[in-house]
Amino acid sequence: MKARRAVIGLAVVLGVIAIIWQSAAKVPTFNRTQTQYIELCSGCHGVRGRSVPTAVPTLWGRVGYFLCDKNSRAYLGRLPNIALAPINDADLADLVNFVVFSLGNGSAPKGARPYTAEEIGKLRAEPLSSVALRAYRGKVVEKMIHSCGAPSAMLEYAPTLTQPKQQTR
Amino acid sequence: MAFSKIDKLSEVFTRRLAGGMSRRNALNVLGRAVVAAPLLPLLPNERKAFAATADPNLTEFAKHAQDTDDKQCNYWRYCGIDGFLCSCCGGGVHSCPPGSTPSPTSWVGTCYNPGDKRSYLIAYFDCCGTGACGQCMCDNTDRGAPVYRPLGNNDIIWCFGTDSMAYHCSTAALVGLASE
Repeated sequence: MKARRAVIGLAVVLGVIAIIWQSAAKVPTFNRTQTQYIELCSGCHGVRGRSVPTAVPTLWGRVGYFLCDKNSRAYLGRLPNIALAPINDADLADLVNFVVFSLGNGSAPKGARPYTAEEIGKLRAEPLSSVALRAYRGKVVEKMIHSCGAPSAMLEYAPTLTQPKQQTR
Repeated sequence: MAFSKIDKLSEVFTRRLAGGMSRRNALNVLGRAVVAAPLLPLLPNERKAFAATADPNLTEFAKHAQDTDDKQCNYWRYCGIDGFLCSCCGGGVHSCPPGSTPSPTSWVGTCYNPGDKRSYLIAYFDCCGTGACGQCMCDNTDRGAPVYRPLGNNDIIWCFGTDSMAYHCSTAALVGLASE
């Protein structure tokens, strides 16, 4: 009788361990748009849009403010790393909409319409590659703070310069 | 009509069970089945199910990748790594050695795991703040981009956001399962 109880007890313990092991082994699964965001953007902006504010602009709860007006909306689509992303217009529109509406976490103004593939196609054809980007961004953000109540912390932005690995190896 | 057939079959089954097995015996069998059920997915069946979703377009790295030794350059998570493996430097495949600081930024690649034949998003976080480790140098370039596209380039020191740009070694943290 004792042996049988011991066997049943062991089986129960193993069962519990199996359940815990299975749930611990599960990794998050990402859809196509999320996968593209993680591959192309999350290295700096963070998987959930949270990053070190002074090194890289934080997306979480902030990026939606760029839908404030026509100019700020265009700024986002013309940013070099968005405009030159190696994906087609439709995928890029989905990606930017995921960023502004999901990672933006309610920061987009009420009634803001999502980007279409056509709009993204036009914007990315004129990337902001010949302007002083940080100064230009500062002007765009200042207007967003004034007109749409964006937090003044969005002005924090001072990226560190890149440095090739060969210099230290 | 269909319901009456199911009713009849159920009745026959239940009567046979009741006639051939005591109540305690039935509870015993049921109890064993409940206890054994969670163990079943541990069997190789689950891996076999994953094998059905294998990606036929494997890179050269993926064809020769292994999933047992994270101190070798051909460990599956290192498909896009460039640098010294932290697992050879006192750290782990996703942890920095003591005395170094993980960078909050990384470059991200997609690697094929030969163990379950699925592709995973891998973030290559550099460990910074101290001199180069010098052990297990690897340079794999799956999905890598030239240096003029820095976001997809692994030749850059990804120590942005840390106090020091001194590079020590590289980790390969698993972010999640990539879409097919």
